[in-house]
Amino acid sequence: MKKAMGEKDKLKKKIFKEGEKKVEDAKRQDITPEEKKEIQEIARKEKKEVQEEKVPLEDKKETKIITPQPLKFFSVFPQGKIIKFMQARKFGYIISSILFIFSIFIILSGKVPLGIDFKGGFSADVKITSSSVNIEDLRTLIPEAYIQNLGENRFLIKLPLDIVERERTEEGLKKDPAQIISEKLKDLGGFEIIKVESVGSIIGRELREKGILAFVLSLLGIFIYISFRFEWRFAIGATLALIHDIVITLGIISSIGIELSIVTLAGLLTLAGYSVNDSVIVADRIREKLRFARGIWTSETINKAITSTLPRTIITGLTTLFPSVSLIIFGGEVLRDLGITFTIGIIVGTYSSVFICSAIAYDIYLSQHKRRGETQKQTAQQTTYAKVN
Amino acid sequence: MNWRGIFLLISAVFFAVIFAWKGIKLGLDLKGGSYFLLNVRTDLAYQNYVDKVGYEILSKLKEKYNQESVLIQGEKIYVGYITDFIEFVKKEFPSFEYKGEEFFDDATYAVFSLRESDKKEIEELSVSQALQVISSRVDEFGVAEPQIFRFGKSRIVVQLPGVLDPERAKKLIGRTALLEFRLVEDTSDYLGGITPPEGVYKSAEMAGGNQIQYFWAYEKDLEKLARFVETLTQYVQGKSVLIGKGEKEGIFRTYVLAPSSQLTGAYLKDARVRMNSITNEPYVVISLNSEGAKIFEKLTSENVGRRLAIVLEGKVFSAPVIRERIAGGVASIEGRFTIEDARELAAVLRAGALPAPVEFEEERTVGASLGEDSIRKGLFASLFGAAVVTLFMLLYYKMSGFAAIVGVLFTLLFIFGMLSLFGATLTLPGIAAIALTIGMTVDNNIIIFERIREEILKRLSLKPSIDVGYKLGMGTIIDANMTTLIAAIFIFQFGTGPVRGFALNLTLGILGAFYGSVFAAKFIIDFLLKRKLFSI
Repeated sequence: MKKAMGEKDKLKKKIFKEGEKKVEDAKRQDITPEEKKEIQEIARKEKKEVQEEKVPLEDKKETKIITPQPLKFFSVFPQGKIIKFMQARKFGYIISSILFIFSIFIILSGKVPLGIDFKGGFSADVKITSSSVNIEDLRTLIPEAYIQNLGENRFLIKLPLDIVERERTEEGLKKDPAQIISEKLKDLGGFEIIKVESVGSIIGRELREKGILAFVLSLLGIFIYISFRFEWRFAIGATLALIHDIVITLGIISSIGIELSIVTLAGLLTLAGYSVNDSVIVADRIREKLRFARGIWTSETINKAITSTLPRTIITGLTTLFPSVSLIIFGGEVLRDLGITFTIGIIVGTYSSVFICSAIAYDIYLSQHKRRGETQKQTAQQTTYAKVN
Repeated sequence: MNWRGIFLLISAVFFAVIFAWKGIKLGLDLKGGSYFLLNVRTDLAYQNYVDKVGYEILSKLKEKYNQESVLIQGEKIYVGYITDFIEFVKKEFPSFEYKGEEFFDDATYAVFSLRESDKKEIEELSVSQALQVISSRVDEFGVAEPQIFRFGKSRIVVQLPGVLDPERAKKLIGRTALLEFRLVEDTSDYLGGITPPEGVYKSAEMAGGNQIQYFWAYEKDLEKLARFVETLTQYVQGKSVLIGKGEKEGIFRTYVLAPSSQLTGAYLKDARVRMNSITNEPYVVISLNSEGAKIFEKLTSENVGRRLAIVLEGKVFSAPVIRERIAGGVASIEGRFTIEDARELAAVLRAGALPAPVEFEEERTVGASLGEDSIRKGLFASLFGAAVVTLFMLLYYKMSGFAAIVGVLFTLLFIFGMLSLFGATLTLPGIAAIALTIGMTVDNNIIIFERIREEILKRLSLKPSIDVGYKLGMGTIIDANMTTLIAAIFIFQFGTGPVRGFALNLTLGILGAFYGSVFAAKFIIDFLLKRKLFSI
C-alpha cells in the first residue's frame, strides 16, 4: 500500500512538473496587484505572439479555441488578495475551545439523548381511528407509558426499557411490549399503526457497541489514510479538526434535543468523511505551495493556500448545505434530524478546515522549530527568499 | 465522438436499461411493513433435548432393572452409580459423555452430559429448522415478497412488506405450535396431600378406575394457579403438571401427565378447520401421516381406559378417555376458538412446530401511510435541494455549471442503475444520502472549476488552463472522496436495514460522482469548448 501511494505521489509530482513547464508564471507565488497588471500586460502581448506561432504548428480548429475570449468570471472572492488566517488563529482556538468544552460537558454529563436504538425500549406512533380520545384516557389506560399527543388523534407512546424487560410470560420468555400496548388499545376500539419501534436490551447494547466500534474504526481508517497521503503534522491537524467537528456537532444537536439514533450516528460518520474531505483539500494545497517554497513553512504560505482554496471550500459548503436545509424544511420527521445534523456539521466542518486544521499543523511545526531555536533564523531566511522571488 | 463520448453513451444506456428492466425495490420504511429480529432460544432447544434423553434413560432403566434412579439437573443427567447403568448409558446414548461421579442427595451418581460437538449440532439444527418453519408459516400468511434470513449465530430476520397487522404476524411467527399427545397419569393420586393457596381449589374425579385429586381456579386467578403449579414438580416423581381448560367455561385445572410425549405434531399430515354442527363452534381436525397413525394406533390400543391429553404449547386442550383402539390417525382439537384463531392454529400446525421458542428482540414497523408520506417528502426535499443547487451552479459558473449539472444527472443515473443491478433497496436515509450526493458531485466539479479559474488568473489562456485544472484537481478529488468512502464502509459494516441503505447509497454516490464529474461533465465541457460556448 505504501509503495502504491509512493507511485501516486510520483505521478502527482510529474503532473506538477508539467504544470510548471506550461505555466512559467505560476512559479511566482506572491503577486501584488501592481505586478499583476504588469503580468497581464506582458501576457496580452505574449498571447498574440503565441497565437501567431501556433497557427502553423497546430490544427486550424485548435487555434480557434485559443482565440481571445472573455476570460472574466464572476467571483465573490477577492482575487489576488491573501487573507491572513494564520494571524487570526488565536481567535479560532478560543471559539473552538469554548464550543468544544461545552460539547464535551454535554456528552460526558450524559445529556446526549439516546434513541431507543441504543438505549433499548419501545415506542409506538398510533392513530386512534374509532373515537376521539384525549391524552388523559390513554394515560390512565397505560399508566407506565410516556405519552405525547402528536395531534390529529395521533399519539406517541413510549415504554422505558425496564418495563419492557420486566414483562415476562410464564415460560420465562420476554413478553412483547407491542402486544401489551395493542391489547390495551384494542379496548378503545380501532387504531392504526403509524410506526412501531421496539429494541430489546441485548440488541440495544450490541448496537451501542457496534456504533462505538464503527466510529472509532472509521476515525482510525481516515487517520491512517491521511497519514499515508500527507505529512504527519497534517494528519494530526486533520484528525483533531475531525474530532472537533464531530464532538461539537454532537454537542449542539444534543443540546437542541435531537436523539442519537442509528440514523443520526450514520449522519455523524458521514460528516467525519466530509470534514476530512475539506481539510484534505486545504492540506493538499499547502503541500503544493510548500513544494514551491522549498519546504519552509511560513504563515504566508499557509494563508495563500487557504485563500486560494477558499472559494471551493465555501461554494462546496453551500452546495451541500442546500440539500441539507431542504431536508430540514421538507424532509419529514426522520430526515429532519439528519438534515439538522448535516447542516450544523457542514458549518462546523467548513469553519474548522479553514481555521483549525492547518493552524494546528502550523503550530506543531513552530513549536518544533522554536525548541531548536531556529525560528528567527528561518523567518529571516524566508523574508529574503520571498524578496528574491 | 471521441472515446469518452462512446463510453458515456454505452454506460448511460446500460444503466437506463437495467433501471427500467429491474426497477428499484423500496425499503420497508418507504413501502410500509414490518421488520423483526428474532432470537431462537437455542439454549432451550438444547435443554429440551437433554430432558428428552433423560426421560428416555429413565424409562429404559426402569424397564430393564425396575429402578428409577435418574435425575436431570440443567445440562447434566445423573444416573445411579451402578456399573451396569453406566455401561448401559455409554452404549445406548453415545452422544453423552461420562463426566465422573458426584455425590448428590445422599447418593452417588454417575454424571453424563452432552458432547460439545453434539450440543453445537443441536443448536445449529434448531436455528435452521426454525428458519424453515417460520418461512412456511409466512407463506401461509400470504405476504408478497417476504424476506427471511439467518442473521448471526442464533438470530433470524423477518421482513414483511405491507403487513398491516404486525401483532397477528408476530403471533403467527412467534408461537412454538408444539403439539403433543401425552398420557394422563391417573394411576396414583400424586396431588392428594397438598393444600392449595387461596384462590385455588381442590376437587376429586374418577379416572381410570381411581379417585384422583386435581387443582382448579377461576380465570382471574390463573396466574396464582400457574405459580402454584411450579411448586408441585417435587411431588410428582418426574411427571409433569400442566394446566388446561376445565370442563366448565371460565375454569382452569391441572393435569398430571407423562414426562414426555408419546406422539408429536412432527407426524402431522394436515390440519383443517371444521365447524361443530351442534355448538356451532369451530375446531381443528388433524390427520397424521402413516407413521404417526401407526404410533397412534399402538398407543391407543395399549392404553384403553386411560386418558390421553392433547397438549398444545404446554397447555392441555382436552383429555378424552381412550375407549378403544383408534386407527386412521385423525384427531380433533377443540378449545372454544374463534374462527380466526382456529384458522391460525390450523396454519401453524401445518407449518410445523418451532424446535425452540423464539423471542422478538427488535421490531420496526412502518405503516403504509407513513411510508408514502416519507417517500413523497424525501423526494420533494431532494428535488428541491437539487433545484437550488442547479440554479446556483448556473448563476455562478454559467455554462460550466450546466456541465456540472449534466454530470449530476449522470451520477443519479449511475446510482439508480447500480441499485437496480445489485437488487438493493432504497430506504429513507438512502434518499438523504442521494440528496447529499448531489452536493458532493458538484463538489468534484467545483474543485476543478476553481482550479481552472486560478490557472486563468495566472496566464489567461483557456485550453491549457482547463487541462491543468483537470490534472491537478483529479488528485485532490481522489484524496478527498477516499475519506468519505472509508466512513461509508464502516457505516455499512455496523448498520442494518435503512442505515445500510444509507451507506450503500453514499458509496455509490461517491463512485457515481466521479463518473458524473470526470466523464460526463468533462465531455460536456469539451463539447462546449469546441462550439465556443464555454464560460466559467
